[in-house]
Amino acid sequence: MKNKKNSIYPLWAIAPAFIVYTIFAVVPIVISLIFSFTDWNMERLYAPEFAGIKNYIQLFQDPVFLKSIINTFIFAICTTILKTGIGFLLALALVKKVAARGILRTIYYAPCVMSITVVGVLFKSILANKGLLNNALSLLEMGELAKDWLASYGTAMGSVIFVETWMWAGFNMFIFLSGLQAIPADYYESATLDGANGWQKFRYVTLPLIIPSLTVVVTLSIAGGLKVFDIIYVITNGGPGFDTQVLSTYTYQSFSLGFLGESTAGSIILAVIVTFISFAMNRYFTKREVEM
Amino acid sequence: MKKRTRGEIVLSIFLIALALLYIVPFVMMILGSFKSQAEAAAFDLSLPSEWLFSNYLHVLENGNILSGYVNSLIITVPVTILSLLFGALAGIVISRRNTRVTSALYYYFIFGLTLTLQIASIFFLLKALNIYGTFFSVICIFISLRIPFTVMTFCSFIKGVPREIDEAAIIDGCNFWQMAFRVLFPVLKPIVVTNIVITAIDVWNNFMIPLFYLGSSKKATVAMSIYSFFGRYNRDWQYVFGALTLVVLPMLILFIVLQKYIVAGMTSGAVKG
Amino acid sequence: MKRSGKRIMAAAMSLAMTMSLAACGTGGNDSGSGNEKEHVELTGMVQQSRWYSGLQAMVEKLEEDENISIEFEVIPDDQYDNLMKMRLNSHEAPDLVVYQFADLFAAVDPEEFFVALDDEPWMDKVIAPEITEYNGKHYGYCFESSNGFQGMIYNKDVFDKEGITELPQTLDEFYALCDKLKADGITPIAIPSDTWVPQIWMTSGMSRALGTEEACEDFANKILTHQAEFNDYPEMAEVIDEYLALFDKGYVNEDFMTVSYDEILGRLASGEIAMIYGATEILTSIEESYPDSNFTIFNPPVGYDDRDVLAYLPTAMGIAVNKDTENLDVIKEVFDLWSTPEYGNLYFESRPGFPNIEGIDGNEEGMNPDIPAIYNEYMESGRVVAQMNQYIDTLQPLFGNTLWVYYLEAPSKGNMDGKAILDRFQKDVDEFMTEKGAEGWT
Repeated sequence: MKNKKNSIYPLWAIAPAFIVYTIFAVVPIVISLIFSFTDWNMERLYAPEFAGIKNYIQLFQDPVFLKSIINTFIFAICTTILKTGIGFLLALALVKKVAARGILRTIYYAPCVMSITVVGVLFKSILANKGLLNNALSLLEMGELAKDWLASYGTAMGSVIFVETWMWAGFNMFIFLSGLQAIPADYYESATLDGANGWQKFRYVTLPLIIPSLTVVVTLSIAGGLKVFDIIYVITNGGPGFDTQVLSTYTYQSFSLGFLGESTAGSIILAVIVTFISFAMNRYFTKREVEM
Repeated sequence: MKKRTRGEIVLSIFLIALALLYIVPFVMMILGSFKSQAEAAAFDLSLPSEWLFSNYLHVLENGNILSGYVNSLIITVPVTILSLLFGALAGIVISRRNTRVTSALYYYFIFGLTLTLQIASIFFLLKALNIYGTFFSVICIFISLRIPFTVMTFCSFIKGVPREIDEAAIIDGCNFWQMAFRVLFPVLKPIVVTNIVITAIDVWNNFMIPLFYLGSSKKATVAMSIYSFFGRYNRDWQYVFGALTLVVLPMLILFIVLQKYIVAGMTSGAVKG
Repeated sequence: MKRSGKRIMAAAMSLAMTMSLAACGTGGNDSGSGNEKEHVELTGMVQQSRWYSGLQAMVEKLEEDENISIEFEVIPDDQYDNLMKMRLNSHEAPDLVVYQFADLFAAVDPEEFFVALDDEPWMDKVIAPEITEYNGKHYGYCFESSNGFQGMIYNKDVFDKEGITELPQTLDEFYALCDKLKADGITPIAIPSDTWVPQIWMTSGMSRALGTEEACEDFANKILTHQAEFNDYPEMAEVIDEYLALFDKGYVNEDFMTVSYDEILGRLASGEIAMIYGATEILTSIEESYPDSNFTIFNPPVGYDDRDVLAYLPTAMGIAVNKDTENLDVIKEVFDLWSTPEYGNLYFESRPGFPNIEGIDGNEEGMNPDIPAIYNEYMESGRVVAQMNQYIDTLQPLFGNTLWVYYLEAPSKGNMDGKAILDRFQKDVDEFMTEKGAEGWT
């Protein structure tokens, strides 16, 4: 019976997506995987030789690489929490009848429409020593708070996390918003009849029904956070020194040096980390969905 | 209509204040693009003492912005359409068939969400296929990058569409194509629009892929042309702000026009993971 | 391994000075009737920071008069090397490749990728042919014969206001000068976060510390064949330590980790900061951007160079021709045209410099008169040496990604002295040379 029904949907309809995706997304990662075991170098673009796990050993002996793994996790965890939390709060606020709701939604979403090069230029001029932020602080007579934001590890890392949150919290808000709007109004009504207060309604109606949105947001955020490249590249370029270097900027840098083997090994490690964590997260949340 | 409660008024004020902070970078950019050189370099939110619309004229004349727009369109339009089409078809079939094979395929596609750009390996591949430096290659790369997200969103959206719709269509004599385009696509409109917006924005703004794989200034996209612009005007912030505004503008408009569909698209689509 | 001719270079440079001072535009020869010519299109690639208005003017004129257009792809500096190597290696490069000569030869093998231009008519008029020379052949068209020399650029108005009339002759006098400026609320020394600027202290200092061209060549030869390591020469760490001391003494602008080069130039022009260790090229840039300013340059005293030696830059921006080009004849025609004053002068209109072709006017009226004066003074007494980056240019791909970053990281964190920096860099060198399969490491 099932087979007959399935025959409506021809498998070949998957073929175009399958072919393009396989050739241009999967084959390159396979090439990377193979070449990560060679001495591939810009000087020997067409003549790499087998080198075993040398590239991997070299990576794990490099303190900058180890630091970049830690940074990657700090960035991914902080931005996931902030983007999810702020996105969720904004969504909760904006399902209510507040003034100018439509315009507010547009404004909160707008940052992620911006090109990352534009964001980089703008925020560098905002966070510069004589930039907008410090100018504003001294105008508000809080000049002692002014500092050179991108000059030390803490504030530089904080700044990129902040900018990433600014860019994507609105995107997450949209996902949550649609999740919230999909909850039928009579669920709340019957809860009210049962004498539930605001918190109980949130805990027993809103939260369980919003978990699917949460799954999507958290999975996308954590994968995006672990893969982060461009926002770091345009704002700090891994600096000051190598302080805000993350895995993908590290692999890009070894690519710049012509160390293609090492660079591909780095990207393989990154891919393994991202795949493992995203799938684990997804598992966890899907299980929760059922439980709640 | 209910009246707003006091809590809602406080909340409104807070949200508006936050929104004002949110748009500071935009305001700085747009005001700056109308200022004189000295005023723009001050990086503040003051109004320009004189509105210099001529800045935009200068940017358009000297920045290759218009040819950048054309090239960006040459890439963005096919990528948006094809990734949507390919992803939607795959998503429909994978979700509907629901066998072990399609479930494996689903995870195969989803795996793509975790991949980062393999700059050197892709270069190697394009050389091997002898398509380096063509719009075609860049379009294919973008499609392959967008497909996982499209497949994921369509798969979950389709789950919420009753099978009976498809079966009725087939009984009425539709073939698969007719069913997909005439019957399903209208139902799927919200998720279609969501994918169009997200893909278009992503591709339009991407700078690395065209830079590495297009290989000619004639094909430079608008996101790339601002780089040749910086090279010349790195001290003229009014022009830089003008150029940035021109890069951002088309996608901002696209989003504003289509945004009402997005919530609906996500409501029934991405939500179900 | 090393290219020869540093000394010829020096001689050629002083010739260039006198030439350009004497040349009064020998008049443009007729470039032939242009407009009916068939349209030809060439392609090229150029770094964002080298997309000079002079070069743009030459390209525009070519299109108007000769119907030859050159589509230059402008590429962000930090991605340029990668793209150039990838494209050349895969034979996808454009017709023309703009780069710094002779640094280009450290990045790619000219014999494999570029056309030798020895038989071109304009080669006879080239003032510094050795810049483009590799194994006896010449692989490029250079606009300039040299990028000048390195030294301390200072705002004269600030010095005048402070009543400073005598330039410091010793390191102590230099420190005293800085203290005076600092006491009056002026930041003595500018350091931007663009790493290529602060490294000038070291590339200049290391050569000055060794003192002679022979010593530098010998040093580089040993370093590049692994017969010696950087810290076998204690004076190298000393150079870095002296640079780091500037930060400890509080002479440097506090936001050196983030402030951009452009911003720093603005502060120098406004008199907020007094000096920057740079090169004549930077002096020209400041004068171009801030025409009302009053800047000049001197060779600053340092603790490790008693002879007072001047570090110069035997490099110049130029164009190499891709061997794969299908328009070689047109390109040769372009170079013929460009080597005439009619075109060549355009390059120097807003950026005075040292032309590489006899008869072209380097716009010396626009040049700061101290530049040739200082140069000739040192040249005549034989106290010149090329900057260190030139001698060890095999390691060039490493500089921007490692060593130059350490130069800013160390004062910011206070975690490394000169010796520690060089130890760390030695590890990078070892890895790089081993990857390359260089002699002495395998």
